[in-house]
Amino acid sequence: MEYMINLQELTKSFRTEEVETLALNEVNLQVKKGEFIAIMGPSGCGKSTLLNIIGLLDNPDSGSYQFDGQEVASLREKQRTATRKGNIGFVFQSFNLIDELTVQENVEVPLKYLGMSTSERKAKIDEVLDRMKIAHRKNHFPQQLSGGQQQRVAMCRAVVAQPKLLLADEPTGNLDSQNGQEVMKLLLELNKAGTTIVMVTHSDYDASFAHRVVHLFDGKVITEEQKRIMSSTNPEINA
Amino acid sequence: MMLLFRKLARNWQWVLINIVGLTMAYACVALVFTYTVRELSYDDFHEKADRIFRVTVSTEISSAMHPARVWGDWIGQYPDEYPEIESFVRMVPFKKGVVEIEEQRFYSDNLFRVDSTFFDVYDFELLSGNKSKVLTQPFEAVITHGLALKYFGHTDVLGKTIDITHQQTDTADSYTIVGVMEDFPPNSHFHADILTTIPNMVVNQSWGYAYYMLQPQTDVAALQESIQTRWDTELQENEVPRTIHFQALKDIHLYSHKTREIEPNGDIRSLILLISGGVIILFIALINFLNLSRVQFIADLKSIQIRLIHGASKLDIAREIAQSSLAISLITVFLGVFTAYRLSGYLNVDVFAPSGALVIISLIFVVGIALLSVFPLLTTKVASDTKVTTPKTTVYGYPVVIQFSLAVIAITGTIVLQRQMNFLNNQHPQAKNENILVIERNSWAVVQRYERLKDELLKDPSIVNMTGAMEEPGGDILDNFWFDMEGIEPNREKSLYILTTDANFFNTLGVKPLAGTVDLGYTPDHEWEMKATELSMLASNHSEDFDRMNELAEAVSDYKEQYILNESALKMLGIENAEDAIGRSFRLQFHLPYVFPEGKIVGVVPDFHYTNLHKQERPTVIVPRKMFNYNFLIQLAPNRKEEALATLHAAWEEINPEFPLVYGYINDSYHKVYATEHAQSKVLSLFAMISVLLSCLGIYAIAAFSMQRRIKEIGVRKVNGATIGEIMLMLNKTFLVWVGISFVLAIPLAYYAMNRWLESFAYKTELNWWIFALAGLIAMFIALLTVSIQSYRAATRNPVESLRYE
Repeated sequence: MEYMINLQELTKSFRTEEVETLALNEVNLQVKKGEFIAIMGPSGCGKSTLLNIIGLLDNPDSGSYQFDGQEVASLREKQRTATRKGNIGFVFQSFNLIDELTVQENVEVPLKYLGMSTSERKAKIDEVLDRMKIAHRKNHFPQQLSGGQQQRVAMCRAVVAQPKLLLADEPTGNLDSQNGQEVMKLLLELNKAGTTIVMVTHSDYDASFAHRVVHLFDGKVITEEQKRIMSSTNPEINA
Repeated sequence: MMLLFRKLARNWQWVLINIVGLTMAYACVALVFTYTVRELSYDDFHEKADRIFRVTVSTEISSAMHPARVWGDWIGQYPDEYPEIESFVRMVPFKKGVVEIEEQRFYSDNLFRVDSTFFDVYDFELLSGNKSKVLTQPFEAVITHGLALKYFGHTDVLGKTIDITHQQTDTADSYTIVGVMEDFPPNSHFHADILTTIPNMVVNQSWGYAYYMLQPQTDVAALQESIQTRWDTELQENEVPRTIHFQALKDIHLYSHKTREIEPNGDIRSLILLISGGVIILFIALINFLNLSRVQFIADLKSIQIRLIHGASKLDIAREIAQSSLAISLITVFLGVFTAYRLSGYLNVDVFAPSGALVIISLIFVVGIALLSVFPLLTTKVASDTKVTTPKTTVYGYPVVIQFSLAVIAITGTIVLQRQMNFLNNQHPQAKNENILVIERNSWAVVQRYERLKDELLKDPSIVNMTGAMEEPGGDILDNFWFDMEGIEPNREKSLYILTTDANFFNTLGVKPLAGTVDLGYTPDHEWEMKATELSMLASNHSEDFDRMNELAEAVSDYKEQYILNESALKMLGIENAEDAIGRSFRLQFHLPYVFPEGKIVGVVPDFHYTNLHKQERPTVIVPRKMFNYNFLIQLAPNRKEEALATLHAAWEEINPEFPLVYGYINDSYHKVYATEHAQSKVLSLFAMISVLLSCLGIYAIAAFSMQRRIKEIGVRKVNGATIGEIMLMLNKTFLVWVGISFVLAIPLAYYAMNRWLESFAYKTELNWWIFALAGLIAMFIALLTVSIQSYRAATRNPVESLRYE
């Protein structure tokens, strides 16, 4: 079986001056290539920490993490950056667009660090903006866009470099239901096109789009629930 | 490019503060650097500069005397006796000679009689004329290219003649031009317009500047030692011991403070002061930049993290930050060059002169600013995850403390400098009187017509008074003689300096006696003086023309001399009560004995500080005698200056038609003496202002940043009942503590620095405690004002707004 993500006995703790908090406690998790999983759990259960480690933004204290077959658990910052580049895309609850950049410049960010030529970059940006139906806003600044539009731009940025893995941290958390649904539709389309997706969410509804839901509690995976028929719980998607 | 512009526009406040600060710093660095390069380069353009030494002699009677000039025939003889001396050149100044070229007349202080070796020792280029032949025959002259162009209109002047009247002769001598030399560069410690041959007679009877060029690898100390030993062994009884000094040519400009320097010199202490000022401003500006970079970095943190998450490495980010700093540094360099150019007049330098200097400074600036701009990134543990350790406000405290310490030092320096300048000015009699006019260093012919001029001028009521003196205001009194005084044991180690004046000198200057009188009544006229001189000459030549001698003795014997002592003289003589000196008989041992006949002490005056105050006032005797009064002081009636000047011009034209009339006001005379200090004070005040301004900009930025970070806290406190005053106090407190700490740190440093600086003055203002307190208060006030503008704005915000915003 080919795994995009293979976590074994992953542990991570945080130390402040007074207390030590165990954020992840011997987590085992496998995500297949092309799979779409949702991670759920109460606040402080370790969802974001897990996502940061999966996204190579942070290292675990112990355990093994194989990303696309390569052991990455103890890579240094520089190597993590190199591995991340072009392979992993991110979507956040608060969109995290750069205020002083226009829509197309925001989307351009990951391409810039891949060393692509300007014309190549421009083609890719135009393509993704068209696909996400936000091309008409490409010269606007983030603060001139609605929340839904901003998240769409964030998704453009996440996928423009065609990453193998897309990490979404409560992507609909700051959106109304209609815009939220739009975003979920886009995620599903990307997944169908072959992108592996790991999504952290509080929403059962959003989770219902995933192939599989992983529940975390106090830093541990407590249950895994396989969705057999997605469309049965989400009639709108196929409608 | 567009992006960069947007970024700069968005942060225009920070950008502006940085540009202002860095521009100032750049301009100061460029100016100070150019000035320093020039000061350090004096006389180094002579190939043999390292082998050339100026020879001077010091003596120690009453007080130390160390003139830059020397006297005596030994200067020309030693090169034959000491093989280490390869060559020598003497320069005897004409002293305010009158030059006549093609019917144009002008005074010049840059006329010298020199040995024919001049062009062997020095590398001044001879543009025309034969280097090995010029100045070997009597009455030959070499003039500068500039002078030739100015007065002849061309440089083809060989064979033409010029007339020069020496200050101490009545008639002009004609010189034939045998060479044209290049104009002397600014960094030469002397500048000659005309060089002439030295007549043998003159050499041995004049004060002149003497330079020895030594053989390579000569041990200068050993040579000096061997001459000194010889002098000590040959010392006769009744002779004053002398010490010989060899002064390296390149040290003259910055390290020589002798009397009668060939030109006013620079001063290494002033240079250090200036460099310190420049460094202070540079530091303050860099601290501002560093602080603002940190503020900027924190403001940009979100966008930096997003970039990191999307694949940027720290190096990519650093490159981006450095790129935007490049825009700032390029603007800075451009404005800095312009500012330096505009301010260059202050230091009298050409910022473009040292080739490549501006390019190097600019490069260092651009690279330095780029490095500083990425410094916060490199020193913050910003990983691509969302945890970033944003520094506490105290991190900004240290730089502010350093900045304000430097500002307090600069303010203190300015106050002390200003006070010292005022102090010096107030010490001089009539220094601020705008109605006293000075005609300095007149020629002998003009001196002889003093009484005629005075009589003519005083006919006009717009001229209140006229007096004369041996030295000009702010000059040096250097002639000293042994004396006989009733009640004082003759002592070869004690001598008195002499100042001759007209009888009304003290009244004109408003100096009151401590005892006795300064109203001298009758004093001898010029005719009497000439007779006394003739009699003295006949007597000292053992003349046998007894009839003439008797006739002269008859004519001069009626007059009893009236001597006035100053307080320092009294102290030297050990007389405590000024009244005790009055009435004692006194005689100067002058080589023309009848010129200063025996007489009495008629008055004692305080140390009246007519001369400059770089040195302690010398023990001086003041005698009314007109023949030595080369300087005239004329008191005009207030509000009738124009009338008085018209009268002066008319009278001068009638009485001294062959001499140009050149006059100034007494305050100019003193200003000239303290020109270096005035320039220092101007530059330092400017530096202090800049450093305070920059410190304020810095604290303004930090305050703005700090308030921004505390908006929520302020809101919460206000909702819970805090008043505007309480909020402001809370916000201002930190800054006041910082300024307080700076003050404590700055005081000892400022005290030390100013104490050292004041040491160079014989008369100095006190370093009162209130100066430091005032400097501290000024800094505190400015800081408080700057911070309060921000804190008031923050404190008066509607808390609901700030909480919602957060």
